[in-house]
Amino acid sequence: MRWFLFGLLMGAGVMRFVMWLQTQNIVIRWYIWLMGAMSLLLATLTVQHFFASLYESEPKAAWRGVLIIGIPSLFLAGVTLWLILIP
Amino acid sequence: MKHHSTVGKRTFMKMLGLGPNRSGDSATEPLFHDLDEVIASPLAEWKHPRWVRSVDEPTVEIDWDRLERFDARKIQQMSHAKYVGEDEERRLNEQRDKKTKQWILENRPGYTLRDRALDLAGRTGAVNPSFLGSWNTSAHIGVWAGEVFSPEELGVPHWKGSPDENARMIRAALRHFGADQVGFVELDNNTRKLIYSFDARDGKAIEFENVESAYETESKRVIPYKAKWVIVFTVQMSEEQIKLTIRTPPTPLSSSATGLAYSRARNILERIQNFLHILGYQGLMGTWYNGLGIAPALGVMAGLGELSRLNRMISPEYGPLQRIFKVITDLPLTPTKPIDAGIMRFCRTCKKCAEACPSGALSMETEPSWEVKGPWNNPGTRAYFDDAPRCMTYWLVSTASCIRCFAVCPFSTKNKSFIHKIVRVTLSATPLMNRFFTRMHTVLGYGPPRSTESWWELNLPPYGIDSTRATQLSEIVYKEID
Repeated sequence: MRWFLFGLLMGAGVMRFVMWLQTQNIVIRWYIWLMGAMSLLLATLTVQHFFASLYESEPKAAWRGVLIIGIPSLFLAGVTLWLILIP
Repeated sequence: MKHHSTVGKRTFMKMLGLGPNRSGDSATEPLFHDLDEVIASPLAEWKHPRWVRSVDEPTVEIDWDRLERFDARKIQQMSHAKYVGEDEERRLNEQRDKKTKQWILENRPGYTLRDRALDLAGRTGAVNPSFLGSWNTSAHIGVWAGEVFSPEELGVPHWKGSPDENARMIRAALRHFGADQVGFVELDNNTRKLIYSFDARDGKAIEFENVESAYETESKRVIPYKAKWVIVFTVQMSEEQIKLTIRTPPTPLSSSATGLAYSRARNILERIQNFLHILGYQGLMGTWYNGLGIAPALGVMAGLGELSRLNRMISPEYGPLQRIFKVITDLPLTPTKPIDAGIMRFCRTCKKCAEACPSGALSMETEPSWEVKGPWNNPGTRAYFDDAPRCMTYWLVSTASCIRCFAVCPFSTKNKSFIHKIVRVTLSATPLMNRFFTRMHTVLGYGPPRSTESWWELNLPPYGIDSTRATQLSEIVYKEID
């Protein structure tokens, strides 16, 4: 159920983002889509690893996972947004 | 193929405790109307994860010509005094008894009276293991529910099924009785060497003879050659208890996971013995915890897991957090093949267990060896042989059975994070990333120290285990009562 809601939110977010791009007449190149998708994937994996590790009674692994997977995800998201907003 | 017994199914299943449950719990329990449904049930299916390969030979090399049947009296639990000397054994025992009392008085965490009580009480409540089975005693004659009968006593033919059907039936029954993984080994001239030559506890010889039925005398236990299948099963241990010892010495609280698993298994063993007896077959088991045969070896041959640096079996589903048990039977069963999940290869790189071993009993060598460490090892396999008496000495020094090597093993995880699956799929395919994975296990900080006292505050499931792990609970279709 948790992942169903997560998927719904993610889908709604992406749809809203695409609609916003259309209203702004912004065209995105394929590699920016790829980077964005990678960023979302890593963010999803970070969330999964974080909660799963807490379930495993491994809080240290949970937080270090956020550092190791989450930071690259944020970095990619930042670069993606920068490429979109500052062409 | 039809394989129905002529026994009245309703009566038969009720006696086995598998019949329709008319109580209020029936809506939440799987219902089996007869043995055919038990066999067809998803509970009877057991498949390893997709990335685990079935192989013809186990990942541990075995020289069957060199391998001989092992005298179980040589294991460290039985011959420790011989290995360290009688005087040293006496000194260690006296020291253990003194410490036990002193630490209870000091209220030392993990060694308090309640911790000791939990450990010792968890080992009780189990039947006394019997080679032939408890049905052999007068207390179990009759044909009423709760009692055990043979087909002859009831005047009905023996159960008939193909080896495949029988294997599914035994797996379903064992799961019902509380076992986790179930596999089967066929005894031939090679695998018969995995059965002990002498019993560890009473020193009776274990022999094979061309007889119809197993029997026992003052000096020996005899297994008929026709009983050539070994049912091998595992019982999970509580991860939360075992991991209490991840950074600290073992305590009665952490070792109670082992005691409880053995205790549960003894009852499961008796149930499967009686199940086989009612079907008209023999079920023979050891008379001690690890009796009858070499547990890890049979587990490996049955494909339940791979041998490891622990010199114990590690399974893809439960890692090392399980105990292995076996019953020899003349019920024909389809053997399960050994597996390759990359575990033994991973052990070459990962030495976490050996590094963490407080007694230095585990091998630090990169490659497994044919050379044994002493008479407690059985020559004939290329394994990571352990210096078992050192381990046993530490048990006496710490006043508890140590299990830290299990606790620190990277396979001892709940497998919830996606990372575990990626790691296991990769290491089953290639050893190239093994060093990186071992390093990452440390970098991610797995295995933090755990407070012993906090265990008493945890809201754990029964036995402290996840019994739904590696099962198909979500796929069970409940049937309406007719």
